[in-house]
Amino acid sequence: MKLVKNEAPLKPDDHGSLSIRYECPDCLMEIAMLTNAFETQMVTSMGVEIGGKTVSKSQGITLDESGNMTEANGEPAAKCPFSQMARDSMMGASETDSANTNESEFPWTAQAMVRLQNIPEFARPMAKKGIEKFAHEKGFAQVTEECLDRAKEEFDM
Amino acid sequence: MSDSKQIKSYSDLAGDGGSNIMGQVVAHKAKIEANLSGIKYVIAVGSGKGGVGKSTISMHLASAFNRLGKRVSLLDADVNGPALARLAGLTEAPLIPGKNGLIVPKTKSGIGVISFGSLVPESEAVDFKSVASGDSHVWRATKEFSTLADFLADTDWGELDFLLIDLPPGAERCFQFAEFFGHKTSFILITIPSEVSQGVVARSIAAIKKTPSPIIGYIENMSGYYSADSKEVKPMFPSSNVKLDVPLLGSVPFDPVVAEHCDRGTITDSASSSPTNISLQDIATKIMNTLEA
Repeated sequence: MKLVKNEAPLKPDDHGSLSIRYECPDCLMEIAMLTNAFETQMVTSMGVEIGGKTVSKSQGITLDESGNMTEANGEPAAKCPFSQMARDSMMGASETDSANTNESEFPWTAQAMVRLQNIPEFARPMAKKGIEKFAHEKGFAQVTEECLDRAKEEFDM
Repeated sequence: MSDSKQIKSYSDLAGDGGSNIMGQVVAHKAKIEANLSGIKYVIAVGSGKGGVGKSTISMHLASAFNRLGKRVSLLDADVNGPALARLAGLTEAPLIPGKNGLIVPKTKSGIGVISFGSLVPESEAVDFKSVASGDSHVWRATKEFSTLADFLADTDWGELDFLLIDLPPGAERCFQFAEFFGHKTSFILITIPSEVSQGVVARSIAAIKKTPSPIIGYIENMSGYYSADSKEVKPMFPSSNVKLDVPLLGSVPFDPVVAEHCDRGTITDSASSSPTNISLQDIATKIMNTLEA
């Protein structure tokens, strides 16, 4: 059996199940591994990450000694290709959610983005929106740590 | 080599495909414990019964501790019916990522408040992204707990004398939260004088007693109606025959003037001469003395 690459990114079906296909190179018979959507949801609801807790490009940011953003090492956490693909697909799905995305029309420095990633996930979209509004009003060209500290001062927090 | 050696069994698998789920759960718990290490006392304010004034009493107690010169913050654990943001006047509180996590929004008097009411407008339901479609009853409670865990782990609580946690209704929820927060968290239960309420609170007490978490006592809210005109407190409920097996910390009369301050988010400005506030100040002192004894 060999792994047949699904069309990337792997997307949950209408019921939330993920599938990965394996194919026999001789007889071409295919076997699909399917996730139980409830199990996947239950595990992710625990706040853990399928495929292991690693810093990846889509998940977080690492800084070098001088504070510059570096490319994440990208080393797969999961030894199992299935859980790794499930992880990648979950990350892919969450990137479409503004709650998690690092993309923004308003630029953030890497250091400021690290701060954003270190607050509770549920609070990130509103925090991001509020800070960008503040930065725009105060004439910041990008959201920096200085901008965040200034907001803290101005809101007397 | 036999066939059984050629095919791996479940126990041959290294962990859970590399997810290390248990490791992540343990690490998160350790992070929460470390993040709360600067807090002297964590108190969960529960009841089991809904609508008895858990959030209002929580906010009042925080104000009372604040007046005693204590550093105090509130966590609204009622994800689906958050009230603390409104009570504190912080429905539009700024959310600022600090060096050590989310900076806690504060009232003018310096009481920190983390509430879903600051995160989601009252016109919207609190919602979570999900992979599975439908049947949210299967996973929703787990997601709510993990989200609360995030707020415990990733908020800059700093050094506090008190962290008060306003719980949602449900006797079984008291048990779940007792297990979730652990034995270092003490419980205060709120009831009103009605037998209906006290029966539910008795069930909550029984549930919490299955855990190592201590119960400081209970507060009888709406013990009477205070009329500013006559300066009298009149009964609102017939006396109850239900006995609660924990100390009574005090009784709090309903004062419509204070209730108005609650709706406006100006509890801390409400008159200290109100019997409601006098009673709660006494209760706060009693709680402090109990914990420090």
